[in-house]
Amino acid sequence: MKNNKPILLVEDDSVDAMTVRRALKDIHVLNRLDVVKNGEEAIEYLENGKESPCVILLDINMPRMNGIEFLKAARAQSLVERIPVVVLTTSKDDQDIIDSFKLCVAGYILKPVTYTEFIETVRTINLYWTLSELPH
Amino acid sequence: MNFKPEGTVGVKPMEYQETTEDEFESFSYIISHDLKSPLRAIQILTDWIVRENADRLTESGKEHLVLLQDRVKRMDHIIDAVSRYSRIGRVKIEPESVDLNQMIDYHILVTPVPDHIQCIKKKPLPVVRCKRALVTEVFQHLIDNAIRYMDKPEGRVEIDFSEEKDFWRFSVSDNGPGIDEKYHRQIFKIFASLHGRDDGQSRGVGLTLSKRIAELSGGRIWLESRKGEGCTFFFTLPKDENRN
Repeated sequence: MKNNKPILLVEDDSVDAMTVRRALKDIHVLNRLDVVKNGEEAIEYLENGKESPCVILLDINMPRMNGIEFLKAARAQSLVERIPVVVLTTSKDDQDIIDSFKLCVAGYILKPVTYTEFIETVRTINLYWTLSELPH
Repeated sequence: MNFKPEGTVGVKPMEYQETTEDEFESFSYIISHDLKSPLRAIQILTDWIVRENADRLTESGKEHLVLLQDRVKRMDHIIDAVSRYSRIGRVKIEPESVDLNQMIDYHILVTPVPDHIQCIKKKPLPVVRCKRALVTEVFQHLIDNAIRYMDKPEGRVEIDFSEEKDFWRFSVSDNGPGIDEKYHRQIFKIFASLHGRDDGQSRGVGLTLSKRIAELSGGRIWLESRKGEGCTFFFTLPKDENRN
């Protein structure tokens, strides 16, 4: 990543969270990974966190507050104005894609089925956000 | 149409007025989300077991894990197909004016066509009013199938059309292996097509999707072929662009 701020992963599935953590380690990304389990926890993290994340990786389908609801709430409170949000989901639902881009996501990526593909996905996200400037 | 289960299966807002339409929508949402997540977890955990225990696993143990991953991939393919099938026609797409020449040329350009196969338009295709994404998908399935199953050293895939009074009739023909007449109806059926093949490229899934698209658009799809003599798939689209 362009800076050494933490990456925030909003993900309720523990195996998916393990997969992202492991993939980041395997491609030697040094940024700390913080994981919260739903949109509510993510809002709380952003409101109370001392350090804002460099990137948010956001699942859509989560209990309590899902990804779209999180985006609406976070935008309303201007919590993610300076943070790129990349959706990482199983949802191919056109409405989810439209809703996400309406809420200004920086990307919408489907979770791959195999770990090898997952590594490539995380590698690509990392490369892009290493090349792209990020707001301070 | 906008209902999304909030998180876990079956949890939904109390005030929600449920209709059959919405039930179906949430059903297809569950198919694509809630069934895929555990499947991906199985695939990835199996992959880690194989990676971390390569020297400790017996040959039969390795073989079983490979078979397990293979079946997971197949399941993933089936979920995608069923989910895609249920979504066709549920997403609102406005008809627009589409130059089929551009559409076909672009598809051929981005498709890896082997050197021994020629893909050609027999004559310039018309500009038609249609739902672009859906009609593109039908052409893609038909052209991709013709290429995938080509068994001749000089393969030929031809795209053609004729203009009838109320509809357009398009065709994709090839000089490939042909399809025995007894399978002509079966290949369009979803469950028939989902059985069998392990490579995740069953011919019939695309055909089932194409049939649904053609019929939802007010047209139809069929084929003419004899085993060993290539085949021609036809599909029609009504000229009345405001239909559906």
